[in-house]
Amino acid sequence: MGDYMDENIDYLQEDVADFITLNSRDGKIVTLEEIETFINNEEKDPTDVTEILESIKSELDLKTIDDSEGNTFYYSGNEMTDKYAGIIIRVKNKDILKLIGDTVREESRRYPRPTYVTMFNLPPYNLTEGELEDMLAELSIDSEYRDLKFTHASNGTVFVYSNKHMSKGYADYLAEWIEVGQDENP
Amino acid sequence: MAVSYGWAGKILRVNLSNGRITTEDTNKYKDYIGGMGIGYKVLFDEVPVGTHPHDANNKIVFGTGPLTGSGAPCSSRTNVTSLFPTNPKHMVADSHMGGNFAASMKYAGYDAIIVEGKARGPVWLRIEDDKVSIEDASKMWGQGIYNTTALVASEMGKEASIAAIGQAGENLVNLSVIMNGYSHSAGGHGSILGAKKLKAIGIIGTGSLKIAGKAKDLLDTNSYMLKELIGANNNHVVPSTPQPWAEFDSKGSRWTAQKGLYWGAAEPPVETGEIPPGDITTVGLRTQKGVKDLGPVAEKYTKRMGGCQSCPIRCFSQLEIPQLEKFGVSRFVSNTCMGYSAPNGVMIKGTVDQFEKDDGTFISKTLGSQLADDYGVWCNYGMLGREFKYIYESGKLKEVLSEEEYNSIPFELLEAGDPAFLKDFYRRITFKEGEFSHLGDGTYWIAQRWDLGDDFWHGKAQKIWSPLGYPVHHSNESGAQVGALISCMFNRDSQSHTHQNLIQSGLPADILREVSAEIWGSEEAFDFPAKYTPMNEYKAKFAKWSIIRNVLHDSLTVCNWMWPMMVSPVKARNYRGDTALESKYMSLVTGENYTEESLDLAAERVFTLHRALTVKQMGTLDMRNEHDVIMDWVYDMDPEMEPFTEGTVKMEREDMQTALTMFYEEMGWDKKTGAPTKDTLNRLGLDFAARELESMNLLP
Amino acid sequence: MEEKSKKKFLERETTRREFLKLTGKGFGGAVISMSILSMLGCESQQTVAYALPSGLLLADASRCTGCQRCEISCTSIHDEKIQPFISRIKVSENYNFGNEGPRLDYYRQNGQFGNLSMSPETCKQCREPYCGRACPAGAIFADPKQGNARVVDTSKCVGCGACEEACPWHLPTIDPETKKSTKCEACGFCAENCPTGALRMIPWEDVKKAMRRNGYRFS
Repeated sequence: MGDYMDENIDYLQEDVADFITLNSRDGKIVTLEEIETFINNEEKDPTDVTEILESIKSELDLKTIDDSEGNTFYYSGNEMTDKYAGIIIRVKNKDILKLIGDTVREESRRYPRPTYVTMFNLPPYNLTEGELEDMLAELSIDSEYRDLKFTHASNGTVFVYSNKHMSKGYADYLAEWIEVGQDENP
Repeated sequence: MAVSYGWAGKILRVNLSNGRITTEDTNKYKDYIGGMGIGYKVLFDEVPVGTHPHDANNKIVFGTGPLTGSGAPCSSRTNVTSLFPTNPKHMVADSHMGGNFAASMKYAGYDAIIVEGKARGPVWLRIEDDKVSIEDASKMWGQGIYNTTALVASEMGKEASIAAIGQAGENLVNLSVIMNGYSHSAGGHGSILGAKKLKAIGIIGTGSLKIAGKAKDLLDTNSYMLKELIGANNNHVVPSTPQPWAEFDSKGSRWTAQKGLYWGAAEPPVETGEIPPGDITTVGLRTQKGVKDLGPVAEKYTKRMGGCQSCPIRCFSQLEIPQLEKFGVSRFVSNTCMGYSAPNGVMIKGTVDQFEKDDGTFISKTLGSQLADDYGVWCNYGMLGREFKYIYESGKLKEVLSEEEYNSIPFELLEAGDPAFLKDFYRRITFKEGEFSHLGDGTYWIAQRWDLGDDFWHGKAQKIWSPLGYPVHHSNESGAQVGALISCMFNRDSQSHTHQNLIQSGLPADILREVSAEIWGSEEAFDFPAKYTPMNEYKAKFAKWSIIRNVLHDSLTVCNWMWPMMVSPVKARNYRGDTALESKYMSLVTGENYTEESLDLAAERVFTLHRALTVKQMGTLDMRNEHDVIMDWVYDMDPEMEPFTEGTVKMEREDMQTALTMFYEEMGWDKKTGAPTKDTLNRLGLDFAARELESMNLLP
Repeated sequence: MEEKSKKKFLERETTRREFLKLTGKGFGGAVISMSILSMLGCESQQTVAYALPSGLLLADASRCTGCQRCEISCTSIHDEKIQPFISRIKVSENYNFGNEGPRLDYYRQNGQFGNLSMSPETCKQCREPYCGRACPAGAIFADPKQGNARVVDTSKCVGCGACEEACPWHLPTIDPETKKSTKCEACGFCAENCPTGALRMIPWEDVKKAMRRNGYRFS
């Protein structure tokens, strides 16, 4: 396909950089194997991948993160925050319950706001409706998460919050404000 | 004449009584910057106390400023100043419109247009650069805004920028608008033009706005603002969903762009996608306002976004909804925010699905937008629907209408949730049909006419803020005493978005509190939402700064729905904005050395002149007890909760009086009455106002 | 440094020529086949493409929202003032009622008061430019420094307006303040400042990349 000739190595760097960049932009972290497969699929000469990665490291702000099985993933810090990569890894590690708990507590503490539960259906959490239902059921009985409580806005949207960081009345108000109040006050 | 930079240099004055058309030098208004500042000065100097808004003696000022049309982002705002018909004492107020009109005024060579007197028959004003004429409008009288605009354009040419009133303005309905560009409306001043028999103003401007500095520097500043500072609509700086590039997100953010969300009716559909900061060429995709204002059903009908000249943030959604033709209106709709939600508020029993699942309110909002915009009916920031709800549900309507009139109104449509009710509703108001149409008089006047009592004025559901007959608009629910103070200071609903934009920016509270400390001296300026603390001096500074910047923006003119740039979406900036940006633009454009401080001082002058004019028009010093008054529900809501506890935005009476005192002190106004002191007026160069108030015995 | 930018320029110029060969169009080739455009990630039927020295300019009316920042940018960079009337790209004059102006059924026609469609007009850089042929002073010429864009030599321009008259789209405009014709020089600055990508400049480096990845071999 492509004619690489003497400019071969330049193109390869550029293509690998784009491969990682576009994946990161798309919310995906990639393994070394995936990068190698990409290079092979492009029918490019076998080259030392780590050498290429080293050469594009600063341009991409190339970062790595490991999952619980010791696999290493790459992403571009220009395109993806460490927080986002961290969530992807925790989902891969099936650390969902704690991920939800930590996220809710952090949001209740910091913003402060209750968390709408369907956020966990969105990327990077990507829970199916059934999975989310199971997780929320588990949350409400697990003693580790006794501080997590539910509320809902008048339009039916369900929120979860940590009563370590906000009272019920406060969570109720904020849920209603997020869903209804702010749209009535544009 | 010397070259004028930024300012066009001339003000156009048109007297419709005698047909005199003159120009004058803008220089004498320079201390007031432009726009709103020119408006207040003209009204103070030239309109006698006690004038009725619809009298020939009232004047209306279309104002722009030195940055209008300069290409600074979000800089085509027209500030309209005149006596305000809905206000009980017809005090001065502003209305505002975006679109192209303001920029066109500048390119035609005018910083402001002052219209005075009253024509004998219907006229329209034709402006082609320095060629200005008063034309016969008898063919247009009786037409809606859309037809009127087409008629003016057919005489002037397609390129004309046109502001017009509809039948509501003609018929002197207090709640009426002046509109340009299909949906950009200035609410509350339509009937002023109607009384003057001025149907429309058409402008073609072929000239230039000259800049003192180098264009390259101006372009670099644009680039800096668009790459590093600007967010989405209302300067929300985080996306509405979690996204790889973003540390923060907020469900309510108007930065709705995301993967898989489209302008669905574009050909081919345009995906908004994820839009990290730093790229000028995608900024306009950040706000998909159709789904934000109208719900998910709107996506597939969305053709594109729209908005004002020079603004990269496209906050109007523009849709093609073929089903609307069944109601006898165009299938093409453009609007934003309250332009959609106000008519939906009239459908007090809700709207049932019309053509597909969950499209009820979508149809009400878009149909109502078409009706109200063509007739030129204003909503008093949503009051119209709430007032209708009150008189209908309380039985008052049945009491004040004759049986015949009552029975002629198709309430069965309303009860059935059929949006066709809106056609009847807006027609009655526009054409002043019967007693019912007095809904178009405005809050105070219907309360007088129909003898509405305390449960109307002080009931939470009506959301009336002030005895002057205007509602909540980013008041106590937005920054506690900060929003509450801001809402007390004008003669209509407050148009300040400064505080609201910061509070709703989407950043977590710790960052917002740091930013607050940097601007106002302490983190205590910023309360966590609905977790309020008693008043403190930093909140007074926050409130003052918010108003001053709002006034500054309406004088420059730039959009206060975007400016000032207090925060940024850029992590590398630690999310900090640049509050000196207005002065950077002003220095570049005018060639004069402006600083943040000098601009804020000029805006303080403008705002204090507004206050002085209010004192003069009310004929009392006692602003605290006669002007800056809040309805009881704000203090009495959530009876089971105490003020300053988590989860309520309830205010406390004594604390609010303290807040007023602290605010007056910040402004240099009399602590007791809230009227500007002689010293303060003189300090701000408003000696003429001090002299006049002194002669009226209105100085504290 | 100078050598490097020279090399970059030559590389760009090569890509541009290769691209034009591929599309079978000369400079003024307006409509480039959809398959090539889709190679560049552009799916709209409304797209018109121009091969400019600095890149491939794509104009897609379906993405235009009428903000007029192109006009502001154009006259800032070329005229040191803001004057949409003389902008070399025209958006505002068609904003309310499209190219044709208001008609009886305006509510169905182009424009904000009609079907909400925008009608941005860009210079076609015609191979045989009407404007240039009409100019009695010979002031409009193909400038090799601008990739042979047809530009105005203001020292020769007499401001007679023949170019504006002759152009089927009336795109050149006589500046009422300087009495000189203003005409598009194909600089692409408007595209760099379009906030919705309705005008988009794809640098030749990126065009090359796309061509290469789609199996095109550079000679």
